[in-house]
Amino acid sequence: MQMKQILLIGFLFFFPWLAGAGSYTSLLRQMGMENIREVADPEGVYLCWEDPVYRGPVRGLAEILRTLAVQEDLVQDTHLVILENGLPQILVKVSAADWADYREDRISWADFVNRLLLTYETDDVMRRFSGTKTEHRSAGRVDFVVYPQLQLRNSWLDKIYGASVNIAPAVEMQLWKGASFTGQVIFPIWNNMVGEMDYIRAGLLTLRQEIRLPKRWMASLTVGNFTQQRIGADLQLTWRTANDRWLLGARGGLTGASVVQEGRWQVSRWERLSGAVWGRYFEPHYQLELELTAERYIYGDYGARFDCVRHFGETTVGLFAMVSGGEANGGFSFSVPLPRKKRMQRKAVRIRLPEYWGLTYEAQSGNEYAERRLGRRYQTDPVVSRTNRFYNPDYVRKQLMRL
Amino acid sequence: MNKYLTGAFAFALLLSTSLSFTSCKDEDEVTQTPEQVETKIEAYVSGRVMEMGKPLADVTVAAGEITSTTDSEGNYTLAIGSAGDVTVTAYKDGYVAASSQVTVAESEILSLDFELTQQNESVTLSPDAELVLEEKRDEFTTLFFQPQSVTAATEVSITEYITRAEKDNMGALSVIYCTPDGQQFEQPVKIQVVRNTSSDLYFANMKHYVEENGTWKVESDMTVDPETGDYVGELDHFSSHAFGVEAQWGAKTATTEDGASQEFDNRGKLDAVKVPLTVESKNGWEVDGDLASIIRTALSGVSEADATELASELNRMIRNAKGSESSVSTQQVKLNEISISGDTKATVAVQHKISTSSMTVSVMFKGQPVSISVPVKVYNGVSMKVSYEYGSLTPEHSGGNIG
Repeated sequence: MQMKQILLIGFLFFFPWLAGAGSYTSLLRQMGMENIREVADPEGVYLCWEDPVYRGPVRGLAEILRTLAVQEDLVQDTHLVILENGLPQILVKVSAADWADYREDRISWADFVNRLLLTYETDDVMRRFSGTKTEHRSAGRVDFVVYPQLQLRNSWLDKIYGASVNIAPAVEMQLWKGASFTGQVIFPIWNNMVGEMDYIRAGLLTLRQEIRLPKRWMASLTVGNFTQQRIGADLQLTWRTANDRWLLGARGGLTGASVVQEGRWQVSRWERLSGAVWGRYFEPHYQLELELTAERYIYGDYGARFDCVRHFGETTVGLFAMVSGGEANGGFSFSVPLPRKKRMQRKAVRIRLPEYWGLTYEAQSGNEYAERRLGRRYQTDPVVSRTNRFYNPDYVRKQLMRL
Repeated sequence: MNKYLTGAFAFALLLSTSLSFTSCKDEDEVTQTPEQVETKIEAYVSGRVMEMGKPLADVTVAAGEITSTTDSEGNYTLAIGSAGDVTVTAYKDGYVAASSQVTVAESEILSLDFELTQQNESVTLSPDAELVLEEKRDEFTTLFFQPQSVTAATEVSITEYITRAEKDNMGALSVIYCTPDGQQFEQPVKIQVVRNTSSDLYFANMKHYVEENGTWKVESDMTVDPETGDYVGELDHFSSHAFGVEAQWGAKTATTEDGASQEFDNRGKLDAVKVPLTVESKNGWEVDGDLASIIRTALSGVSEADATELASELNRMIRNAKGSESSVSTQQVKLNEISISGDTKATVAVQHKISTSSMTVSVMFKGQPVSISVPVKVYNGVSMKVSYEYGSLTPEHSGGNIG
């Protein structure tokens, strides 16, 4: 045996945690993960990544767990943090014993998943990555996402529905940690109405900065062109419990009008103040989100809204009821996942469909409700689905078991 | 390279969003609601003024203070405004004036044709001389003045003209306007009205009518001269005189024919607009069928000469009921501009109003009274109905929204 080999064995004997240091980064990189950081110390292995390849919050995690499970040299407690837009979303802890039990078929996948520690609390783990180099950064990589849009409105006597079908491709890219840019243009394909929908126009055109604060606080500031013909700035704050059963949120927006009239895009001063506070409870057995919101809507009316949304895997179905300005409204919504479950890895530019697509039906579309513009709220994100960026631990665990 | 691209995107977005701060427009300026106006089509009277089948230009047609002058085609249009009863008079220097009382309605063009006759020159009636005065236009009526009819030399004239006597149930073979109006005669003036049919066929119960305050009333009976076969009677003063039989008009059957509709599309625009409206209107009347065939059917064995002559006489009776010669023409009626609300498409549907009724008169044929009914089809003008379609800014009811 040569001297070098003797020295290596001796080194690993005293510092076993260094055995696979740096090797899991390349593994994750081969799987297409981005923003990868890896740390190994006596307390275990720490990995964080961002998943741009697998649809939804869970598939990528399942693949990575299975891939890591077969790594013979992974014998330490492992702390896995999933990032979204460079910010930590959920911590998955796997004990060394669980790796061994699963690897040697002493426990099933369901048991393995059941033993995972899933928590929103990531502060301590993220400190471990301080000073660690990020591999395979997301920044500057562009997704060209093609959003289909459909609107049906039953508000005219000469037609059953005023309908419009659009294609709204958007350039989406991460800028720096927590910052993202969305630039969407709406191309009308077909409609049977006359108005703004006849023109190629700006869709969501936003610059967003998100910050993960200690104690599970999350803040985001979005500036740009939103839905509902608004342009302005939106500030949102949320806090959730470690198990994400409870979430409290508040938002405030200062917006102006952004409309296309007679072929011209016109904007106004940002003069309208809107805001909301809400509380959400996640019921784990039925995978139900129950959310109550008190809101000052865009045009100054005050109201309250109750949403009940059930997660059926990646599909959601929801009901809502609201009252605003003395008028009641209600409806239902659904969102479904779009193909593909696994997308190509990102190079410079990638063309894809959105991960989810949904529709909402609301009963009120005309009369006084439309005249007074009641109950209007804008969106700052082109993906309208509650499954998008949904890292609730109970939900993640249940979905992992199915995969 | 990615860093520079990233920076460029961020700068561009910050610049564009900051530019919106510099917009000095109020939100109300940008998000205006479509201007609402009333689309109102007034009541109109239109038609032609003819003289012996040819258009008569420069005729003044008046309804109160509303006047119009016929063009080179003899066409005129009166914008009456609101619904109601009006008296329409057509007059021109040197012509016998004609008038008719009609009822107009909004969103309708009432068709009203006139036939004017140039007044014949007067001749001198001397106290000590007799005078035979034959009407020059149709040569149907002749007046015989005895000596001493007047106490001083008097300029007299008679002019055959067309009246509108349907409401008075008069089937007039001849209608004359005599001047000086109101002239009294010391001696009865003999009237002779030509009869061109054979002795087998004549009108029984010919009467002499006089117009009083716009209504034709029976003045006296006329007889058939056994020597000449013509209809004869007497008068003792000058006025408007008619010679004919009682004519019964049956109930009118109203029908419609679709005309060309017009669309004015102001959808997608906020401001109301005023648009010119030109509508095609049919004027006139015609016998609904072949008059000679109708006569041959009613009068079995009638000679061709008699059938032809009777057809001509029945035509005269109908023209003196309807106020114009038999002909149907099309007129492009230019209406006042109508207002269309913002974000609205207005369709003006035109329907030609047609009525059919029968004139029944009694003739003596081979010593037996026979009733002849002649169906007459009249184009009464058009009615217009405005329907609306709205653009995306103008919902009409609340039926729900999916999107």
